[in-house]
Amino acid sequence: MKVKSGGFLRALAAAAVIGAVAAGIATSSASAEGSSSAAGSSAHRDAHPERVVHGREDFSFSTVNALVGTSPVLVRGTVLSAEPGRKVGSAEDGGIDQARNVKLRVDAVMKNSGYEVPSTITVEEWGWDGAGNAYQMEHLTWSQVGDTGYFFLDKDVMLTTWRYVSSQGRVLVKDGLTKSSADPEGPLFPLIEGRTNTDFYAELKRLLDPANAGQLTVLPQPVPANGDQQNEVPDDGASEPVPDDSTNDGSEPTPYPSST
Amino acid sequence: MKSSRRLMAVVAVSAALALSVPFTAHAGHDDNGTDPDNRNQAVKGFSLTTNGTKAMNHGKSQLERSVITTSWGGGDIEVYDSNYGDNGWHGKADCTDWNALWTSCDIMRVRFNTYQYKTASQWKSLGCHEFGHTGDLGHRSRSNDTDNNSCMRVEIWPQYYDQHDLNAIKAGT
Repeated sequence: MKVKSGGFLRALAAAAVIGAVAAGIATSSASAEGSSSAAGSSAHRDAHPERVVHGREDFSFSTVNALVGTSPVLVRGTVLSAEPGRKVGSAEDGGIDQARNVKLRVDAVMKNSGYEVPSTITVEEWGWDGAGNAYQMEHLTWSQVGDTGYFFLDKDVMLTTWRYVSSQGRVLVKDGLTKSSADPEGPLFPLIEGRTNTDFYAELKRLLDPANAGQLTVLPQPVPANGDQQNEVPDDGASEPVPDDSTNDGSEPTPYPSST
Repeated sequence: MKSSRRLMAVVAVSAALALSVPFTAHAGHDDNGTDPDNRNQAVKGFSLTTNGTKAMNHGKSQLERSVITTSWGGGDIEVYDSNYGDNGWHGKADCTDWNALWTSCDIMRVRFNTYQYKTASQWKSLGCHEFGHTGDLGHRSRSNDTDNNSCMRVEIWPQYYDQHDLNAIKAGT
């Protein structure tokens, strides 16, 4: 799926294709990160994400407090490199995905929750599908070499892989201002985006101050399902009314005229 | 070379302007999922668990409440589930086969993660949520779903689309 947060981006993507065809040029996906598809040297791998994968994550944060409180690890770091990582999945599971290993120089560990955090760590981003098409998860764009900022991290249950606590878990600093990876239309984004680094850093330090212990919001952790629960859970009897036709819920007016 | 570059730029800008016109009208969270190629979507599950089947069935039934009609079969919405592990997500949806201009999707893929425990009603909510992405819906939040009844929320587990979701599917597909 193309990166699209609206019709304009979609149109730009389409325009790029048309432009390329009209000019009679073939696009190349090779890069230092991707690999050439020429002469069967190795698999095709896009150099940039052109698709967005949407989904429901373990955590969705609406405050900086909850983001800080729920993230086991918070580091300030700089991206040193990025390269293809492990492959997971199978055709039976819906396809293969390949991670993108982002190597971080840890400039400061602001929270570690008992984890050992070395001076360089590798954080998984996503990634590529089995055909080498690159995608990003929600609004978390690919980190670039030289990017610096705050990384809100967790480790998988096997303690083998660093990953973002959610796709909201990266705050880059560009020209002294913060750039959030959260959904621009969600509640967290405006609490972070465009602040001065000094201001945001001060909030993090205040939240992490031992004097404020107990003030942090920690969202419930996901609970692993056992084998039976993975296959089937009993009906919990929970029911709720099917919503009526009201749109008086803070949502925007009925979206007409339709695009079709 | 200069003329060909100029030609490419002109074509690209013209196409952008032309193609942006039909998509300008949308409300907040529609047009943020995946735009299906039509309003008739065939659904097929692949070796699903009982949980995954319930989620798929519920998601399909919720799409039926919208302008999208559904049937059983391959070629439009393909549904998988597995223990994908402790990777931070319950479910996700993406497009595996875009049309030539990448403006709409022929084949959507939905994947449910069985790793985390979910109640039966949460599974239904997840099915509704991921199928909503296939209907071009994005996420909702407390500020624009004050009655907490849209399954496109990401911090609670409602089981249905509300009227705004249904309107948005109509506008976005």
